[in-house]
Amino acid sequence: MAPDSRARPRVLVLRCKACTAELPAASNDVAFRCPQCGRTWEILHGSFREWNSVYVAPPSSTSHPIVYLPYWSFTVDATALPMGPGHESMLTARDKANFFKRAWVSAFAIYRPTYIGEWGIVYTRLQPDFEVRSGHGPEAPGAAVGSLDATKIATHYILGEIDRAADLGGLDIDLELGDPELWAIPCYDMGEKIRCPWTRAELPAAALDDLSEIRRASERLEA
Amino acid sequence: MNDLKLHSVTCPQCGAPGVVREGTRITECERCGARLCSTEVITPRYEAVANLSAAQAVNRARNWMEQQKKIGMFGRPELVLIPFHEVTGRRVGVFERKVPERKRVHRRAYNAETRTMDVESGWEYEEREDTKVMVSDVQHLTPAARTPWDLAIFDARAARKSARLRHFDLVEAQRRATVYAEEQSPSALAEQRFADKGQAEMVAASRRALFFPFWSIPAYPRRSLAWIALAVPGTLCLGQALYATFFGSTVFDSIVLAAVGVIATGIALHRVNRPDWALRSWPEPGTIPRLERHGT
Repeated sequence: MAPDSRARPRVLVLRCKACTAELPAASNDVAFRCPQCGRTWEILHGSFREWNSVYVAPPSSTSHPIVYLPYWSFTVDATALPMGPGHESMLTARDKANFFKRAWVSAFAIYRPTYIGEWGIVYTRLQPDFEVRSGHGPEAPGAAVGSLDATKIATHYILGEIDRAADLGGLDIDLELGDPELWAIPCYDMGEKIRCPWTRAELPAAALDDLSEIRRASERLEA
Repeated sequence: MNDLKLHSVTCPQCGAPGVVREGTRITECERCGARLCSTEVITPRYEAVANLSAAQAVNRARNWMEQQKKIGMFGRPELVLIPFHEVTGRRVGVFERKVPERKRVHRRAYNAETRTMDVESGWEYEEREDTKVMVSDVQHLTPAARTPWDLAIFDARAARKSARLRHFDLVEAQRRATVYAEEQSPSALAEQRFADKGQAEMVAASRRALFFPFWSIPAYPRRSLAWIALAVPGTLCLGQALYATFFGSTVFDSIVLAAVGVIATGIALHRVNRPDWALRSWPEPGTIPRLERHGT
């Protein structure tokens, strides 16, 4: 069968541009984490773009196998000032805006995240104090969601949380997100379910499309 | 049945030409072994893993037939992979909307009979402006192939919830199953569905083809003797035609008798050998198989 010469997709070599190590990738990934130097490379406009990358230290007592899930994370600088004399809820919204220092968005492909459970918004609400490390670390999976899309989602997460306290129409909001960082957050792999060690939230394993490839990355790490 | 489209690529590392299959994003250069990734968003293909073996499927079919008080024999079960197109994403946006708000109001009114001021309570409705931040999921799952039976009976969304997906390899799949071809691209479906959705913006959108496995089991229930009504006159006609050929004339024209005999006997043979029913079941334990009339 002759190849289609009209459509000629552009391809990139999956190697870290800094240390030339081979980048592990699932079939759906758009950003990749180098297992050797820990840098993150995302395909943006046909070429690689580097982002900062960190991983969260696994919990001290590991009762179950650990699997790392990718998240986009952003530093948040948000202020919400009431426009004119407002209700008490306006002051709550102001305090809430100051509370957000960081936002997270799931970077793995998940089936109906709002329905099944999106841990990115849970972390954004709770602002957990993760113990983060940089460097090579675990062989964590790449991201199936692009950083541009994640930025838009994170912006709406923050706006939505402020809107829960008071109507956005009565607030003067100034919201700035920092550069995206790819985080690898460890979770317990319980077979049929994935459990977050910090929030105790659970996801059905079938909801994660690339879980088999994410598990394979973890198995390589253990080997 | 299924067209395997190939795209030509050139390895950026060694310059060797290569080909990638449609739906494959990550491939390896055959000369230098470098892993190559396409910069374009290519529709990935996944396959739902079947949890029911052929023997289990036949057992379930037999149990179901017994419940229906039908007795019959089953043919060889055949695994069929039917493509569905899934378009998912998240819709985000900030909207101005008007929310109806109800307020309790108390009016003082002069009562002429009692000569006092009475308080009349009631409700007043007014519209309040509200800003709503929306982050919602979008999911569309539609059959992408034309099948001999109606796919509307299959609850693909429910099956998708419990289905475990793995990467779909067309060549490998065609060795063990009949794979139906996709009739349109998921991009066309996405454009059709999300052409004009107002202020909402689709982000993290993904388009993928999901192949759901079905067991197709031909069933031969012993229930009808209608074929005998065709076989008997067919045989008689053929006999009369042979008699006319070898021994002389008959009441009817021998050519007509031969034609009627061949057609009636052929239909009877086809009728007795054809499966009346085909059981098609989503191969997950605990699901109810569907029984359909063949060819409808």
